[in-house]
Amino acid sequence: MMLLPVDIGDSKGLTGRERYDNLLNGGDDEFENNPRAHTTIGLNELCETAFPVWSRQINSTTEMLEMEITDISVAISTMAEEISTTMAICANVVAEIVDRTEDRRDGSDVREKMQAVADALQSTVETRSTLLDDVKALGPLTSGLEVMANDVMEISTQTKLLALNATIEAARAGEAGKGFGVVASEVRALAMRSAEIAEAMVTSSTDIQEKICHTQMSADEAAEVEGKLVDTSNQHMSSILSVHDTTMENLLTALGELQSIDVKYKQSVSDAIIALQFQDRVGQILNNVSQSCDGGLAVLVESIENNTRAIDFEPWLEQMHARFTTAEERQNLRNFMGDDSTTNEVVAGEVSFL
Amino acid sequence: MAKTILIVDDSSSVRIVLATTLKSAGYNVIDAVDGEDGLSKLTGEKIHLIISDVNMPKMDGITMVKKIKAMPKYKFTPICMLTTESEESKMKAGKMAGAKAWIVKPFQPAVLLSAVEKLVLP
Repeated sequence: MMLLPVDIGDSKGLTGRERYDNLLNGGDDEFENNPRAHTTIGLNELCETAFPVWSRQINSTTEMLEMEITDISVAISTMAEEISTTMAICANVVAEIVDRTEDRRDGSDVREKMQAVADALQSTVETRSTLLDDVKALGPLTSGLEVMANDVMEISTQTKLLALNATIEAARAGEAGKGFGVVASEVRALAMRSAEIAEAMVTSSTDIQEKICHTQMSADEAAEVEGKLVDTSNQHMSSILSVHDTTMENLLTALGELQSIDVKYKQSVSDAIIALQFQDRVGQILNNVSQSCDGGLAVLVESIENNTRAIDFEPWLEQMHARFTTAEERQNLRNFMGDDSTTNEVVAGEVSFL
Repeated sequence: MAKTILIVDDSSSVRIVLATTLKSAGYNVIDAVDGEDGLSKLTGEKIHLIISDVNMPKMDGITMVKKIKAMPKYKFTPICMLTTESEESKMKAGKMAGAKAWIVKPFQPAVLLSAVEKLVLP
């Protein structure tokens, strides 16, 4: 059985490197005074059994880790995309509602539009009132017309009397007044015609006055109804505007909450994306450990085959070191070796433009 | 029209979170599992940016960058390395190969997208 020297203790608080150096240099007091320092029976078998098992365990762990983290990544990515889409739709819908309701595009809003409707109604009432005043003003005019018609009738009566007198005087004049009598007769006919027209004017004037009165009453009733309609409309518009204001307030609050949730959600997704990348780093480190186990086993087998008592660990150590990719791996090695130097490391997450 | 980014990484979880991040910003994403696969995806269509890991099986990222820089169609395509490699000497090797930027994992989505915006071809 091949017996290999092994460092089993750290009785002097030495670093790993110092213990290896002591071992290579033929041992010091630590090993000479320690009967178990130079050889450990069964170490070969232990290493030959343990290294491959460790390597396989690490590989299967890495595979499991990658599989599980991949599933989690897919789930989170899907959720992130779906939530992102949903949030965008919600925000757009709310923003669209707010935008349409406020109608910011033409600078007016619902309140202004409602006020325009109220103003239009009020204007209609005022126009009708003006029209009613004009109709009322026709009353005195028709009364004047009736007075004028009565004057015409009076003149007609006087004219008829005058024509009668003229007819009598024409008859007295005999043959000489015959022509004058014809004129007097025509004047009498005209006077009678004037009287008829004046009478018709009086009748028409009375008729017009009755109609104006009727129109006035109807217009008064309509004005009363319109006034009530305007009042009711104003009340309804106030009520609608109140509901609108509350709705707008709620919408804006909801929009603000949505935006706040969106910021938090994006930060959570960002945190999840950063956290999920640990698998890649851990996988790299575990893969390096696995390869180092395989390398260690190869060194052991070579030592057994060559029947050497000491393992040449330097090349194996260098290969292991060369495989390190993360700052943590290099720092762990330095700590083990008691090396307090540092290496220039690029800070994780930062972008270096080359 | 959305710009296309080729991502090359042997870690499936990294490919997923990277694709999610880039798609959320409106980019089209093509993915590859290693350097060889990455080269096979360069079939003549315009690629506006390549984001690649360094340590990968079959072909590592640095070798892939060198081969891409020798391809007439893609020699001007910007390449950003996204890797766990934090040693400056490795970053210099990436620069020598032709990479334009170097980001050590884990990446922060906002920082990555800001860099992508600067690097991506018009």
